[in-house]
Amino acid sequence: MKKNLERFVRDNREDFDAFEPSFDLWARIETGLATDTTAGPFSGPDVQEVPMPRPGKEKPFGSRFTIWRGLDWRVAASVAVLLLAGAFFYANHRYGVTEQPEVVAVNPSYAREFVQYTRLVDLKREELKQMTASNPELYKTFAKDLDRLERNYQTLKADLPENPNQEVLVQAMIQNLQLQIDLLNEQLRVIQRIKQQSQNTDEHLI
Amino acid sequence: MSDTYLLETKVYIDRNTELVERCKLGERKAQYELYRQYAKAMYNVCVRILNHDAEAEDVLQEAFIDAFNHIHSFRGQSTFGAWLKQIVVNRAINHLRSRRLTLVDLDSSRLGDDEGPDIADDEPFDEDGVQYEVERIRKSMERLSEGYRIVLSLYLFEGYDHEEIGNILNISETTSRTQYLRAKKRLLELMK
Repeated sequence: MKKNLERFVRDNREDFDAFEPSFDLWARIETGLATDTTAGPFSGPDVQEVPMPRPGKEKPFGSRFTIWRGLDWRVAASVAVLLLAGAFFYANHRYGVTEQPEVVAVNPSYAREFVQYTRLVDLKREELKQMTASNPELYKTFAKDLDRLERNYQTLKADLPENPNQEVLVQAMIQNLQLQIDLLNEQLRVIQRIKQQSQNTDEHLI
Repeated sequence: MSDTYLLETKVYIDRNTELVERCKLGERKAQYELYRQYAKAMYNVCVRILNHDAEAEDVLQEAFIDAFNHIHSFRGQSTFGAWLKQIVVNRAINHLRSRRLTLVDLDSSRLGDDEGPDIADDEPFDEDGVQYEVERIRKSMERLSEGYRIVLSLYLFEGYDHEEIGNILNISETTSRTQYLRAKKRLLELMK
């Protein structure tokens, strides 16, 4: 339970202001204001010539205010725009608003799942394409199966806006994506096995 | 986040705007209203810096007259309170200088000479054993040397950072920092 001075003062700041100026002070100020309209040297933050024993080294008073002055509305506006853009990109990355606007509209909590699955599908498809680069025949067969699922997915997606039971449809879409991933995994495994086999036979031949 | 930031700025500026505008027209009632709002807090700022009740009141009087006479140069870039406090602090520091107490000594690190043994600066004071009480802190502050008291009250009580204190006192930011650490250490010793 460590206490420190700064903290204590901050927490009890009001209690430190215990003294009261005397009652007639305002009256004195008032008379001062009535007579002293031109006023002597001003020691406020906005006036340059402040009588100080060592001029020259003086920076303008109150850097806090100079910072405020520099930070005008244009800066504030651009900061706001940047923050909003950042927030949008973050949300988009997380929930895929632009990629899956229909789904986000139905249920944002599914949106994230969708983004993850569709990304995974894309990734695995790319992988498949690379692995079967030497065997276009095989890729065609695989792609046929995948396209069937994909078409199915697109029909579901097209139905989504009009469908009265959107929740079920979204779940079906997720299931479809999961199937696509499973299929892709299976296909990748098959390719791997084929490669291994051909490697083995190569070794046998040697 | 950006919204609250803008909102806060607006609220800050707006709080006394009406009163300030009326002051600019020379309305006595508005002046009194601002005086009533800030007199006590500003008086305590003066007392802490000057360590002298009557002088604090004189300085406060000058500061308010100063502020109202120059209300036109307040353009709402800070709160009225912060602006007023700058005037009060500057007035108080100038007053101390005119008392010919050599604040210049703040620049040299020898200021701690009259403060008893100077413990190594990087060795933090053990604050665990110290009992904090408002009254004891205040009494101990009154016993601090001028330089220590000023840096301590500007940093600890008035919320200026070391750069600002450096500007106010014509010292470097680093000096302000080390002076503050020493002042704090001394204060805690006095409180034992």
